[in-house]
Amino acid sequence: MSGVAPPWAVLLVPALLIVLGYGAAAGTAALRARAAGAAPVSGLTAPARESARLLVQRRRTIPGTDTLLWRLGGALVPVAAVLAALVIPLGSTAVSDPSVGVVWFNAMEVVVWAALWMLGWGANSVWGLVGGYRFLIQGLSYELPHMFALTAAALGAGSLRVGDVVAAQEQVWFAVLMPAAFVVYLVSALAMAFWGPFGTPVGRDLAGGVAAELSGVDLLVLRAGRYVFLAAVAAMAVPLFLGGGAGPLLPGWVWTLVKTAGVLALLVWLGHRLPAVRMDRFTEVGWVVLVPVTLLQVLAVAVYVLVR
Amino acid sequence: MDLTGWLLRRAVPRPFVVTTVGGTGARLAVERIVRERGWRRALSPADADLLVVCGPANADADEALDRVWAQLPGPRARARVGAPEQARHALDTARADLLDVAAQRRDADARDRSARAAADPDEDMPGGLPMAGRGEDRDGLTLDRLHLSLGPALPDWPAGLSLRTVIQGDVVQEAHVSLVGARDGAASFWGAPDGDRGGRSTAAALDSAQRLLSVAGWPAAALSARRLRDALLEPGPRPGTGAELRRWRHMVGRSRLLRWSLRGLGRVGDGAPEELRGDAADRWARWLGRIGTASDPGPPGAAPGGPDVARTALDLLPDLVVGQELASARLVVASLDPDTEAVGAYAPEPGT
Amino acid sequence: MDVFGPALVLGALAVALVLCVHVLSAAVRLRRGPVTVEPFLSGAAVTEHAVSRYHVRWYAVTLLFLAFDMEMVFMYPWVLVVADKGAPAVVEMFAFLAVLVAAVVYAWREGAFRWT
Repeated sequence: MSGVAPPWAVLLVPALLIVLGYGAAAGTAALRARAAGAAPVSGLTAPARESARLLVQRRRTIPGTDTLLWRLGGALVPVAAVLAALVIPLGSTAVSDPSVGVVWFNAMEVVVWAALWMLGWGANSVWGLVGGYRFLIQGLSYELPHMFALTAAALGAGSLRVGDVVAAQEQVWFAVLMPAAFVVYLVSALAMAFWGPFGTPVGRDLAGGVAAELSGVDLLVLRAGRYVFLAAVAAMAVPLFLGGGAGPLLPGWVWTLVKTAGVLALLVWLGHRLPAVRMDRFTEVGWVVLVPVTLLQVLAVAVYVLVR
Repeated sequence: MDLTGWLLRRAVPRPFVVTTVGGTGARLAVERIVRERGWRRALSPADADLLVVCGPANADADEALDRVWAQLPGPRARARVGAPEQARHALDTARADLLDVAAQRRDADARDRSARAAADPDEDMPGGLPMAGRGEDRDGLTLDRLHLSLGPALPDWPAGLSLRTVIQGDVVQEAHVSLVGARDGAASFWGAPDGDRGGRSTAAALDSAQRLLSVAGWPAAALSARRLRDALLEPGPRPGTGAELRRWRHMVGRSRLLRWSLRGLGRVGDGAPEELRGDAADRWARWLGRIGTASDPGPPGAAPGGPDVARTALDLLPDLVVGQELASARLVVASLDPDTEAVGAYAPEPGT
Repeated sequence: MDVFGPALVLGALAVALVLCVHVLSAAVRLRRGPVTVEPFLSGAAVTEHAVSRYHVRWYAVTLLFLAFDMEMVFMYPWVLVVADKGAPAVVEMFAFLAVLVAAVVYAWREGAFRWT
């Protein structure tokens, strides 16, 4: 199933992620413009104009910052996003398809925990401190259901190789076979990208939270990194649950991109339509509802694998 | 080629909007222009390039504003909007200041020079500041205490309100309320007589609602609320606003997630004025009710609470936020939304 | 190295991209050096450093999470052998998970997931 990609394909991964991330940012801006009563078209250039502003803006520093942690934290977000995308196949070929691809994605995505805490702690600001710890409890709440959702997909294929997971969906997509795991994956996608209803670590009530003291290029890298990360987790939903590049007429790589854009659009729309979730209330839901639900989902998949 | 200037001209400015007591009218004008031009309001000074102060100057507020001004990274420009009709001109001027690259470079160099002059190589702690001290928390544990001021220069915050808190972790342990720049005899914007069809009362409820929605992390719904509020305050006929208002109210009224976030926060007993009673979700529902009755062609809604309601809200505030997380504390303040302009000079009662 | 070699290349590429943005910004921004400022406190003067021992009131959740995180170390390899080993593998894994879920239920009843 999975072929070996040519060496130049490595360049394609960040390029596609940046295009998709820009699309997500532009889509968000277009929805905002419509809510403000302006023409949604103005959203198309909004991310570029915002980048121009942040490129020219000066950086700031605060007495007593932990400079290494602070400057490294923001840069880690886009790097983790690009690395997570290593195992995502475009059509039927990924840059690399290791036998532990699902675990690799899981590991890269968790790097963001460290990144946000480093940003929050390093800034020597109360807002950052509170925001950084907010993301930690958010991680503790979404990560287990997320890992069980990943496990369910891997179990359905009997392999942790992403190429095998795609191959196992030839008959029926995992989104149909294991809907609870798919829904939980989408929820955790929002949470891990600290996006929309799970955006409280950079929330308005904290004056920007972990980003409260960032300016200029540091803020640009964090904000762009978040959109790139959102694109990466949306793209991973395609091989895990939506049959990868499978589809009629069009070549596989087009289907992968179409499906990714669809998932990304759904995440952006959800971010627009939902208020923030307070973590002190969500933690209970995550552990008492989502963990048992995903475990039952894994059990159902295990039984399916045995009787198949 | 001057790439810096070229990029600056393409950038969309991001204003940090602060309101002083008496500046609500100016704030509405500024927010309207900001929205119509497709600008976005900054969350913190670090994110901002414009500092826009709405309302009259006063010495106490100016001290806070100067401090915030020094926190803008640059390029930076400052605008003071004393009255609504000055808003357009003040923002245009500030934008022009922002685009003057030579002046911005001079400003940056001057800041760097004064920072070098003020630097003290002998200080043993960075910035000459001590580490956090410790104190007992509510469970008798000895924990680090941080001093965090909420207001007066904070977005989505009542004009002039200053809530000085001591926090441990993100829990508020102590809170003291004061009003910066409040004086007797100042007129409340929302309390002004309403000549036209109850539009102002609905607009007041929408203004409170948009602030709560912003703090509750639903910026899109808040933006729509601001647009509808501005439409209601416009003199003359407003075709289509009623239908849009109903759509908006339907959308936010249906949100269980929002009610779930607000439930149980800031519970006020039955001894308080009716507008304040219940928890944050009850107050939110009451605003929606006020907006709902006004969207139908009917009698004008009741005027928002007067000075007594606002004063009671301020008196209650410290007890309501102590023991709460910062997120909850901000939602409590937003759900009470005291009309600080109606209060006049305010001194908290001793013992609170 | 064919498997994780590309990971190194991709990682280097990502770091290079971030560095490019920084270099571009250094070339066009107003002044290259950062401006030193006080942290934002809504206009109040700063009185102490913010880095401090943070009161993590949800520490019980972290302990519970650690138990499950160790369990994931078994669960990822487990998915590879379920089809081969058959029903006993499923029974054993879910018996183990049942023990952990019992801990979650106990912690829930003790109020570990509510700390406000």
